[in-house]
Amino acid sequence: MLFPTLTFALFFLLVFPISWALRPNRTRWQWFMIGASYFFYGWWDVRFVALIALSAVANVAFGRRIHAAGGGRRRAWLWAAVGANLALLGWFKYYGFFAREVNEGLSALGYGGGLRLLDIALPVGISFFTFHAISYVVDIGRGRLEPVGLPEYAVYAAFFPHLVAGPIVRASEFLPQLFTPRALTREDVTRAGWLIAGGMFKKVFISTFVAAAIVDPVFSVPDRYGSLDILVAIYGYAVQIFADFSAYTDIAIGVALLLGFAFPQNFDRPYRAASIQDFWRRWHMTLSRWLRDYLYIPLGGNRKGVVRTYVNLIVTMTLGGLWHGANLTFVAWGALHGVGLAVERLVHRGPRRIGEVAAPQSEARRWLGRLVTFHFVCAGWVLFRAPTFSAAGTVFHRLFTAGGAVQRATPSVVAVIVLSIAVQWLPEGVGRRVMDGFARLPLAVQGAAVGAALFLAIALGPQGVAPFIYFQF
Amino acid sequence: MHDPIHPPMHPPMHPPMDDLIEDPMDEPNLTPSATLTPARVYAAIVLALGVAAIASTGRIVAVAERLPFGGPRSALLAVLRPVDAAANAVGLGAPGHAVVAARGALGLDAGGAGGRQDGAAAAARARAVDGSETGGPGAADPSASDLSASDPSGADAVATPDEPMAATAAAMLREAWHGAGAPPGGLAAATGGIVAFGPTGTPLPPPTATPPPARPIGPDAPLRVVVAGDSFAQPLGFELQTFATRDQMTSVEIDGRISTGLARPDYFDWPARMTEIVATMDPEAVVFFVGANDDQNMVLDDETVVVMGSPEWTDEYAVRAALLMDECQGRRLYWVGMPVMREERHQRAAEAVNTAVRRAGATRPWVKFIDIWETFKGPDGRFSLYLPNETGEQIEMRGADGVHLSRTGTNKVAAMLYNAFGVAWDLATPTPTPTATGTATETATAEATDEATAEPHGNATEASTAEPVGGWPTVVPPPNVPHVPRIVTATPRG
Repeated sequence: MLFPTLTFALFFLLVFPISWALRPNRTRWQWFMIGASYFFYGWWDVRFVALIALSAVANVAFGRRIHAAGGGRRRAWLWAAVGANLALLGWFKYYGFFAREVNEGLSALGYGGGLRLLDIALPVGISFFTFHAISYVVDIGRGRLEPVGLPEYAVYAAFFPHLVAGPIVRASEFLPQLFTPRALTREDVTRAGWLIAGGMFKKVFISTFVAAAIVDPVFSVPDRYGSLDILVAIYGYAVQIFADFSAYTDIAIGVALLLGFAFPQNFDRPYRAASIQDFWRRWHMTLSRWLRDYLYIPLGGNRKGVVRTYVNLIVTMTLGGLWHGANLTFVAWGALHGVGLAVERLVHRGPRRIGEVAAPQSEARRWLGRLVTFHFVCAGWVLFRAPTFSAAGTVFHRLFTAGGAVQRATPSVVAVIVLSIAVQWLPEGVGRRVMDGFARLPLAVQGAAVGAALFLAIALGPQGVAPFIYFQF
Repeated sequence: MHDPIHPPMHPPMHPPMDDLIEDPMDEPNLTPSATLTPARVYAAIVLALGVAAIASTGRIVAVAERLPFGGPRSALLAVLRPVDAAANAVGLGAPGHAVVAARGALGLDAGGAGGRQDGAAAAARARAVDGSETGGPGAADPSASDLSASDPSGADAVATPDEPMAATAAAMLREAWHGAGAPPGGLAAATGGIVAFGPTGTPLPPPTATPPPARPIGPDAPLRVVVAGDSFAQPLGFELQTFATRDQMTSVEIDGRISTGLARPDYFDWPARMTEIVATMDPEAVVFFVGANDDQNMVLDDETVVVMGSPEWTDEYAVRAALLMDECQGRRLYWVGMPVMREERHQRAAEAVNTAVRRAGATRPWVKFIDIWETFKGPDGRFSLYLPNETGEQIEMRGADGVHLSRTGTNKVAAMLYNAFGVAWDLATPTPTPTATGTATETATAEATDEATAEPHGNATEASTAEPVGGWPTVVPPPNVPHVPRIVTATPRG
């Protein structure tokens, strides 16, 4: 079930009152929410409901074993749990990629045969429930969390707002909210309405419009377009992927708030980032910290020397790239960001110690940083969007050499793209002040305003809504 | 955030967090404020959705109309249509119309992405097909008498079995596609003489037109091609555009409308759109690719329901295909057939679509059926995600959904079409220039096939001859197929 659909609106109109009616009885609420979430998930493909149910049973068992064991056995159980979760992800998401690469390698060496290519369907959101599972078992292994029962874990893993595309919520953030329910505060409700309406507008209008008007045509046939069209299409993809993904997690956070759960923020105006490091503090923030907590730190983080820190950074970001898709272009995209972070750290930090406060930057230097960072990120998006390296090469080649007439970069397309980026460059606090003003309005007026915003998104958008980009990750 | 129920048992195992990435939960993002009851919040949610719904009733009705014919659709429309009518009567539909008008004025219609046609004509056609024009809102929804689409027997396929199929089809087509009055000369004139079409596949009448003569093609006067259809057509158009950029011998426009087909003219009327395409774009070659959305029942204007899988369904589909083909008289129409499908239901519909289109095209010499069934069939004759290329390497040719083609698969179909163009027009010169796209390339094999005769398989260096097919030229010039990038990994799967 997709968020910006009539089906989901009807689903939520049913789930909301039942959820709050059952909330005083945690056990009943949990079973209800498991059922509702499995229904939400089964709407795509009912076969995979069994997969998330089995995953829940296995991880609860692993959690108990890890917690009960001590010393080396605890470590062994932890590795088994992480390995099992990664094996599941690897089988569904990476087997085809792995087999193709192995076969290509064998073929290049003059050997035939190789691995058999299988028709494996990818369960929606498998990356996200795998990340949630790893977070749970590792935190138990680290002694930061005690194991919970099957219904508690199943709700955590399958809670429908974050089930298919995040944000990635730690078990230690979610589970306490099961035991001490949050009240519905005025601020939460206002913020939820704001996030849901804004998310709808970003997805239904901005993302779909920019994709259809310029991004898809230009990236599909770059040879057909001139430099300006290609430049605007690259900026357009930056807008599209931000609007698409942040829309999903904004709606997810808003829906969770209405059900009494606080999720961590996932995006913070990423295109105002003045450095690559700053970008990753603002883009898919819950993935960034997951990679930090469960990959970068276990690799040694910055505690094993300068060289090792750079290696760890690049390895972490490269694997993060592979997580985005089973294709070498995604690996290269991740590696590009890893190298970028390492170089940036090398250049800007020099011998400065970790934790030392940097000298304040001038406004001009900050804007220069923003411009450079934005274009570095955009260059990375070309690798991310293009199906092959050669296709990405064509885009870059034509960007600088094609010239030619403008076909797709019409004034309306350029205006939507520029406004979508410029709104992220507004001074700090502007958005907060607008929302504070909105929060002071009577609840009924807020409801009507959110309804008007939803209407505007529906009226401006096309018939039918394409799936979210991040569903494939 | 610390777990109040399960506080940490041990100190953290790691030193202070690295400063590379801040923790989003560390930032205070919520401040205490007044508590609201769920009932009040629910009222606000209902109000928000109510405001959005009341202002968007037209769009919601359109969504409901897209549902397959059946009980849920009928029930929804029975509620929604009166609400929509009432909303419009008191002017609540005005904001929606204003935004749609503004969207068009501001150039915010991307074009080609949507499905449903806007405008009075399409609405009138929809009403005619849905029966609401005469029966009042919801009263005459044809799906009220819907039959199970999963019933393949066809025994109850036609609700009014005594009425000749051709007559019901003709009545529907006359009403829905040509307005209330029959065109001068009757339906025969409008449809190229197909009224003699029988209920179980009676051969269609002899050809009424011949393909236009081919003209010299060159970069200064490229072949005008329009690729139209559903979600299969859009990427196919992109691939043909890629070919076109290399040799400049074709000029390709795309009119892709997702979720469309011939089964639901109430949602999107392809024959009507084809009339516009022909009039405004003046293509010399039209590529048409639909069918994957047509695995559903069809309803005639007299509310007769034709069940998918029945012989009558195939007959009706052939009539609709013939109507569209006749819109393209005077041009060459390349109708791409459906590939083998993973799911049995899709497979059954794809077979029926191909049968119907073949039948309609058999007597229309300007129509060429591009048969891709064999091309995409796995070794066991069934759907296969991977297929071997000429060197035996397994290539991902289909989409993970078991329906669509992968980028490489689409590229293959584009190469087949390009070869088919080459049969009618001389695309041999100038030689296409290699591009940066594709590190490893393969020369696509000409595999344009026809229902009557397998097409010649050519390569880039030698000419061959072919049997005449339905009035097509017999000499196959050097196919001049551009280099096809061998894309090992198709688009990321979801």
